[in-house]
Amino acid sequence: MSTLETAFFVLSAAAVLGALILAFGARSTVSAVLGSMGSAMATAGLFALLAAPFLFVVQLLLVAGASLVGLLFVVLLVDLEAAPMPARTTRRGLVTGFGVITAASLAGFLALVLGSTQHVDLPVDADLGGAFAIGRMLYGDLAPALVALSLLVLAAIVSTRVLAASGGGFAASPASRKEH
Amino acid sequence: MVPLEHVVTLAFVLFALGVVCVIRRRHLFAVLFGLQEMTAAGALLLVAFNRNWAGRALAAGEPAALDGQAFAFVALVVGVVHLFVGIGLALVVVRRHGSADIDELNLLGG
Repeated sequence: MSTLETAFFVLSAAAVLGALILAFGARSTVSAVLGSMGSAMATAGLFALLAAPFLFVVQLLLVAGASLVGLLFVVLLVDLEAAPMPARTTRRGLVTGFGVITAASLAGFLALVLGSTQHVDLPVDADLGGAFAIGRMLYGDLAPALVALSLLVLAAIVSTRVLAASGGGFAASPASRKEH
Repeated sequence: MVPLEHVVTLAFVLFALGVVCVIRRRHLFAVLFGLQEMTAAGALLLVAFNRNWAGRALAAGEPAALDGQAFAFVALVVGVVHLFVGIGLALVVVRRHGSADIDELNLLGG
C-alpha cells in the first residue's frame, strides 16, 4: 500500500467517522443532516479508492448531492423547531445486550470470511467499475433486478407524494396550537 | 492497494455506529440517518470484496466480474428510497404530534 493511498484511506475513514459522530450526536436536525452529508461525501472518496468510479459518482450525485441536499432544504423550509433532536437515549439493557451480541456475531463472521479469503491486489492499470461495465451488467444479467429497482423508486415517489398530499395535519403545527 | 482487512474493519465500525444510533437515539431523523449509514456500510463491504474478487479473476486471466459493485449500486438506491419515504413519514408524524420522539409514537397501538 503506497503512502498516498494510506493517507487517503486514513483521512477518508477519519472524515467518515467524525462526520458520523457529529450527525449522531447532534442536537439540531440541520447539524445532523450536514454531518450525514459529510459522511456520504467521505464514503464516496472511499469508493474512488476501491476502484469503483461509477459508485463514486453515484454516491456524490445521488446520495450526497440529491437526497441529502434535498433533505437539508426540507429541514430548512419546514418548521422543525418544534421537534428538536433530544439528547435522551434509550437505556434498555435487553436491547443493548442484543446489540452487543449481534455486533460480536457479525465481527466473528467477518473475521471468518477474511480468514478464508485469498487476498489479491488489482493490477495498477486495471479498468474496473466504470459506467460502461456496470451498465452492461445492470442491463444484461441483472435487468430484472433493475426493473424491480425502478418499480421500487416509482412506488417511493408515489408514496411520498401521497404522504405530502395527505396533509398530515399540516395546518395544525404545534406553534399554531400553542397560539390557540 | 488498501488491505481488505482495513476496509472491512471500517465498514464494520460504520455499521456498528449505525446500529448504535438506531438503538440508542429516540429521534426519528436520527434513526433514519442510522439506517442510511448501515446501508452505506453494506455497500462499502460489497465494493471491497468485489475489488478483491476482481483482482483474483484478473490474476487468473479471466474478465473481472462486477457483481459486487452492481449490488452496491442497488443498495445505494434502496437506501435513498427508504430515506425519502422515511423523511416523508417523519414529517407527517412531526406535524401531527409535534414530536419526533419514537417512544411517544403509538399510532398502531389502538
